[in-house]
Amino acid sequence: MRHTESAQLWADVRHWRRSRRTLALGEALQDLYIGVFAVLMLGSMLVSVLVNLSESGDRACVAADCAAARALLPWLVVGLLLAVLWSLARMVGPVAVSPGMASWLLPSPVDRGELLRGRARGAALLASGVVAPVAAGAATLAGFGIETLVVFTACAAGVASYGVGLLAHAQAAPRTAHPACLLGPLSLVAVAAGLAAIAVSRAPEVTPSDELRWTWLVATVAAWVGVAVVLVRAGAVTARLRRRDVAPGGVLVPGRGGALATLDLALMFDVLVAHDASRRGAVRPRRGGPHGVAALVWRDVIRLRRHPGRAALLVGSLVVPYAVAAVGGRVVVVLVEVLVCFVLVVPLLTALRVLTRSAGMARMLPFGWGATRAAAIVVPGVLLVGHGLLSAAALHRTLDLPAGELVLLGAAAGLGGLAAGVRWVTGRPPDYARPLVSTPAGGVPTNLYGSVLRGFDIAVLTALPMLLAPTGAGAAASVLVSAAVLAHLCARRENST
Amino acid sequence: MTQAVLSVRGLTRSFGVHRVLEDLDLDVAAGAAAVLVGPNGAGKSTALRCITGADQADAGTVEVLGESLDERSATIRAAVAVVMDDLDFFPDLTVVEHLDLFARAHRTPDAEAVVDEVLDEVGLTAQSGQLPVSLSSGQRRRLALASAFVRPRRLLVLDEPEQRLDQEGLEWLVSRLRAEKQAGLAVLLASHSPVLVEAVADDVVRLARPA
Repeated sequence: MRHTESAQLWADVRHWRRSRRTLALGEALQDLYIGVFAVLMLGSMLVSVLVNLSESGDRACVAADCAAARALLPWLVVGLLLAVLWSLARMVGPVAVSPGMASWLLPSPVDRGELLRGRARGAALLASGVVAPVAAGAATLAGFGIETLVVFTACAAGVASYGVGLLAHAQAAPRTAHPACLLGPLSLVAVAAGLAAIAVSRAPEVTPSDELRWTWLVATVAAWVGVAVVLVRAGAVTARLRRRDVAPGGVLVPGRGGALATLDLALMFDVLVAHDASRRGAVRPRRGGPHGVAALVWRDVIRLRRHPGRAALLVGSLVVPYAVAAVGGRVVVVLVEVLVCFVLVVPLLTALRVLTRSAGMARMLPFGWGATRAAAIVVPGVLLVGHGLLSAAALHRTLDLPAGELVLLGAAAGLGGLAAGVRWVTGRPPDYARPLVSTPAGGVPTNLYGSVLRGFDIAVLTALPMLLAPTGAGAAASVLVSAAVLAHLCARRENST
Repeated sequence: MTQAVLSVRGLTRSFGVHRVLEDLDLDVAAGAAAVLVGPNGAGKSTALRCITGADQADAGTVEVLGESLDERSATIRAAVAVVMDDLDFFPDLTVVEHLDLFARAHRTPDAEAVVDEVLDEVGLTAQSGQLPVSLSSGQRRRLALASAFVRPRRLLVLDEPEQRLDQEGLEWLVSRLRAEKQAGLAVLLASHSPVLVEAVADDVVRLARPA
């Protein structure tokens, strides 16, 4: 049987779309002009800020530890970005199709390789497009020379694209662990190792120096040759993709896009959690445990056993406050610790999220609202306070305080992170039923913009007493603020209840 | 005379100028079932939401076991099992872990055996290790109903429990609700299913769509 011509199919799709367009060419060009102008203006402002910061860094960062850490900064930034990018790529596909395409085009007798190869190539090139400006910015901040900056940026972009290409191979592989799936975790481990090196004042010399320039050039060329191979072989790889490999990612993208469009980040988190659950499908159930409210707490212990990566991430993140302390962060270590705890506690609060977003589950449990929510933060709270206590030694490096006060500061930082995380998870979504503010982008709910800063406000609020008075008294004040925030958020009843 | 487990008097609820529910009176005794019937928009779900405290009525009183309804009261929440359409499952807990949680949270004696029995009854034993997102909508409905049966209860409140159930599921539901009544429990449900109404209702309350 003859395959349908993919090019003809795309031509039909294009024709169909054109016949239903609602935007005139002039209007589209006008939008394009505004977009290009905004990017150029904001981009030039950003470049100017980065250059100024870099010059300030040249003057201020003269100590050996600081200089070594600064040279390592682009590696850490790019490593972290690659870890996030590759993890997202793996979550989405990286090759994904819309539900419509999965329903109508994939079952048709069209050459699947030809149909999907553009998506594989697009995903690989998009990765380099995302990584290149970030790598260039980080290299500028680190004070790299222009030639070094170009080589570093090109190499980072090539590695990013190549990694996404490998993940497309992994997507087409049978359902077994493919080595490319380890790219994200390995990148994260490399970042943790870099931070640990800074923390113990043994940051390696990794700037692409003049002597090593050829090595760097060869590495960059090798990365891009790999990208070229990936792009050329995209058709053969995507021809092996099954519908079940590409359809779930396509469902995920519009869900996340919708959540992002309304800046409802918690909803975006829900979409990711649901996607992860649907990928797992089934797990080994664990039964038993205590009765009463402790049963709810015990479920968080089960979750932790089921997702050991979350605990490992928490342990690995301990290097962050130590690295900040090693480069002379002083009291800033406290703020960094609160922020680290805030970011890492969110995946541990899935139970609280479910109990908050609708009343159905909470209504099934025989406890008051406050007790139910409080039970859902016991395990995350214990972990974060433990994290804070273990970071106390980092504070000792920068603050000359008795051990008791350091411990209190550490615990207060962990509790502050918990309060910020609970605030983020229990935040109310943008309410389009309320009066809207008129903007060029249309009607905007008053609580829309605030949702981006949600959680960070409480992180700063709880860290502030410790930043102003890095003593036991400041820590006690921070604990009181965190306790008040947690009590309020746990007791607050949602409209839907 | 048997004391009413649930007693509702003069329940009224409006949304703006639109009155959805007006002066609803209702009693449900132990071992009896009352069923709210009526077309879409007649206020069945609103009535159940007000009766269970999920929504605030504009006027009227609701008493459960002689106590004025405050659904924050642990005593009332322990006595009333409610399955509405908004039950949101934990995405990372399996079918059996959900039931285990409800049973243990309510201190059900011999929780593990009760959970196994109910799981078998609703036909989800084979799915016990599955996460809720991987269940079909009918299986999710069965899980929601099962969650009400693994815990001690005096009053059972169900909102259109027949939704998304197949014929076999509906037959199971009828027999289960009859068994609940025989065990002396009070049942209140809203339903569109004539089969269910015919089989379990002792008292049918007809609600009309407001003019």
